[in-house]
Amino acid sequence: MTDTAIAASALGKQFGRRGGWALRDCTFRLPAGRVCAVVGPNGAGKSTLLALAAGLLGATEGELTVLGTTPAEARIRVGYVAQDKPLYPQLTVAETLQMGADLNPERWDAAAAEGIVAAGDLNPKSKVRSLSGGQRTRVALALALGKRPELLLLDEPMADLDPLARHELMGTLMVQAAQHGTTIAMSSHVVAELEDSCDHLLLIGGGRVRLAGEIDDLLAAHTRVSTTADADLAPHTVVESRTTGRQLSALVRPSGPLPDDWRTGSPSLEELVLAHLRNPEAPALTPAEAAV
Amino acid sequence: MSATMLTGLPRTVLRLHRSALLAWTVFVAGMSGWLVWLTEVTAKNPEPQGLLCFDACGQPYVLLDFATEMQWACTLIGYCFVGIAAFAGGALTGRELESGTAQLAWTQGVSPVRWLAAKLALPAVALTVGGTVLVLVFRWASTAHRTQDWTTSATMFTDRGPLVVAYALCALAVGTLTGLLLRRALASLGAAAAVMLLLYTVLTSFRVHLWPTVTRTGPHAFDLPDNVWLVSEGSNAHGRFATYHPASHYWPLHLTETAIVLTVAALAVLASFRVLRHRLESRV
Amino acid sequence: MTTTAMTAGDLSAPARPRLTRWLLRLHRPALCVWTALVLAAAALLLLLHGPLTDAAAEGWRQYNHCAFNASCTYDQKAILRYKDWYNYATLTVCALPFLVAAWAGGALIGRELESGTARLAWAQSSTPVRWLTVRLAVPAVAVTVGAGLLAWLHQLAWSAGQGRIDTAPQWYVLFTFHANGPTIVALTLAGLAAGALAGLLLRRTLPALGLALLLTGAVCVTTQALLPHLWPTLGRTGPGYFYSPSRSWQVSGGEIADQYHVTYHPYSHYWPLQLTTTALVLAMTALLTLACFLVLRRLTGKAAPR
Repeated sequence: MTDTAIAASALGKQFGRRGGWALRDCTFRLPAGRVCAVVGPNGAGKSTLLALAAGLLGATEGELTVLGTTPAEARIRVGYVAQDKPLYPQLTVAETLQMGADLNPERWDAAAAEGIVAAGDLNPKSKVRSLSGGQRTRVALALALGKRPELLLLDEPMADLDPLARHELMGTLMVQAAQHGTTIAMSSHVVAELEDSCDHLLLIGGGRVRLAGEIDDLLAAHTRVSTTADADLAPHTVVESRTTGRQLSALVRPSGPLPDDWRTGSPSLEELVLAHLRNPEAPALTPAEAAV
Repeated sequence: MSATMLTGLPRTVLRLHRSALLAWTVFVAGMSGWLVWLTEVTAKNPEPQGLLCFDACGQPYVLLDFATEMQWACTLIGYCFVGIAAFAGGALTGRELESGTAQLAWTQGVSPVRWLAAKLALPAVALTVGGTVLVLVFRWASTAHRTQDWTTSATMFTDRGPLVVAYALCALAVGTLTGLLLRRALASLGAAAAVMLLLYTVLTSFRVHLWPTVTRTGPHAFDLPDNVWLVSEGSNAHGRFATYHPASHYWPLHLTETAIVLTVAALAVLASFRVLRHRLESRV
Repeated sequence: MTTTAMTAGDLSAPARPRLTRWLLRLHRPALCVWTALVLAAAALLLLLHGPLTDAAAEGWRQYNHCAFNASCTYDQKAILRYKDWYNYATLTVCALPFLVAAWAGGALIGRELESGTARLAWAQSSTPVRWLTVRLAVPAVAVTVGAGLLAWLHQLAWSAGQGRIDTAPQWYVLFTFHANGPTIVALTLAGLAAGALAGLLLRRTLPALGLALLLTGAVCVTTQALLPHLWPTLGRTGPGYFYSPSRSWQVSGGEIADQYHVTYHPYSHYWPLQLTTTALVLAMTALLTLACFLVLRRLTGKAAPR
């Protein structure tokens, strides 16, 4: 087992020969054992990235290594839940889990899968067709976790769930990560829900990686400053700056000590993400690149 | 019921089923073109007609001669209702109800009843226009060259009158009904096509009884005209007899069957609206 | 698992995912419909082979016995009934390629790719290539068994009428030729491959179903156009027009230097034509199958370089 779960360099995916690029020039590294939030606006390329990592799509250009090998080779050790939680509508819940056991004969953890379904008070005999969106999510997660994956890729896993189920399932995922060392990458556009549980961030915007790294490192690298409008922000990297009257507030990446008369503060994760999304020209920060 | 809605709903239905409309147009134009070609070019060329041409035959192997091609065109027109049933059951209603886009339309300020009415009315117009064109072209082609008459085959009987349009409309109604009942694209596609084929087979086998036959008797053997539909012949104590439909029975037979098929279509439309209303009321 | 009889190979062999079992479970309704269809058609063909043929043959015997005696009667109903049911049976057998193509394009592949359940299956411990292999191989077995049985029964039913029923179709008549032999099995397999290709190309249920039917129609038309040329014809030349020998399929007729010339296939060419046609259709099926795997590879990325 390697210490890198996903490593991408100059990864790109184009749909159709003349279609647009869903993902271009992506370079990042996700260390093993992390819980990574894949964040970005709608249509940023999050789902494409996760499908590429799951070995369900072929990359147009660049390199992608998953669990030390190609995505296709690693597929057997990877769990994946797609955004619309596809399941066979004609099967019952119990049959769906039985299918998971039959299709993953060497890895299946029946107790884990049944536990997740049981926690949602699902009747094993009910057809998938009759389930609500949240219940389908639960079954899809059970199927992915029952496989005992080394890497779990979840595309918008919590979108359909009520707050209680969201909390409970997030707890289940964290236990899974802690007990088995599973690396989890989950996408979302709700940053707040990821802040407590994730320790790694991958921010994608416009098909490119904008931020990648440990959340703590990323937060530490940015400072919220507030000063007078005539202050010169150079040589620090400015992510976003706004002038109101004689007041200048900005989010910067300090490249040295800041003047004492500036009021400074640490940004929240949401502020950091929003500042980068609002300013597509802000330079990307991917400290993990060096480690590739 | 604002003016924008009246134009908006038909436009939406047309946009959603643009490829189906295109396919139907291509079918009608293609069949018409083929029939014109057969009549104007193939039939006027004496060589490949499958007739004994003695010393005029310089042709190598000819895959399809005029009569065979005519019969193929006739079969395709006569059975086009199977494709229409599949479209109505699959794409028109079944898929929309399966994927939930029907409910999407119902929440866009279009009442479900108006939605269904538009889904039935616009294809019905397209089918009536296209079917009429096909019938007229086919009648022109088959009267120009009388290689086959109305008794040659079941589809030859169908294609020479409004029965083609009636079967098309019936397929539309039956497909819509199965789509509303089953709410699954593929299941209702298969069911609609199967039901229409069954209806066609049953009606074809009872076709001969749809109008009283004529019986002719005589002490000796007699000849009947070529274009009659002979039902039975034989001899009894009084001599020879034959029961048959003369050529003049074509329209009574044809129109009776058209009326039956249109009645089935009307019942299916009625049932579709009832199913829709029942579903909406029971959901509350 | 620790029996001594087990070889080293068995111990190292990993448990294989049970794809076949789940394919059968997911398409149980289709399998039931296929079985019912095959059984119904088989029953009809047996009926045709026995009582219907006997009754019609008796009718023809009476008719021929009558000669031109006007007061004579014969069993006309039996003759017409035989003709009708023979046509139903033959057309049912010849519709199999299209039915299988529609199912394969719509339900087997197109719907799975449209709803995303194909990706669900690929995300389990199996590869997309194996997924497609099982999805083609298992239906191919069912298709071969079903269509093979019907073709054999049809051949029996057709043979029973030869020489006894004057209007029974000749061996070379379009639908009869295909329903009588292995070509229908090959055409049905081509329908399966065409359906799978349409599903993989369009990835949407209903358009894939339509394209599957078109592709299968194209295979059938190509086959029919090439059929007479797949085995050397015999020729006859003579003064004046004459037909090719009885029971033979006249392919062409024409005048060459004041002599009339016909080319034809005698009945003895039946099996050579059946087998070469089957080989041709199987070659087209192989190309379609290859195309399926190429499209799948383009969809899921190149396989691991090994």
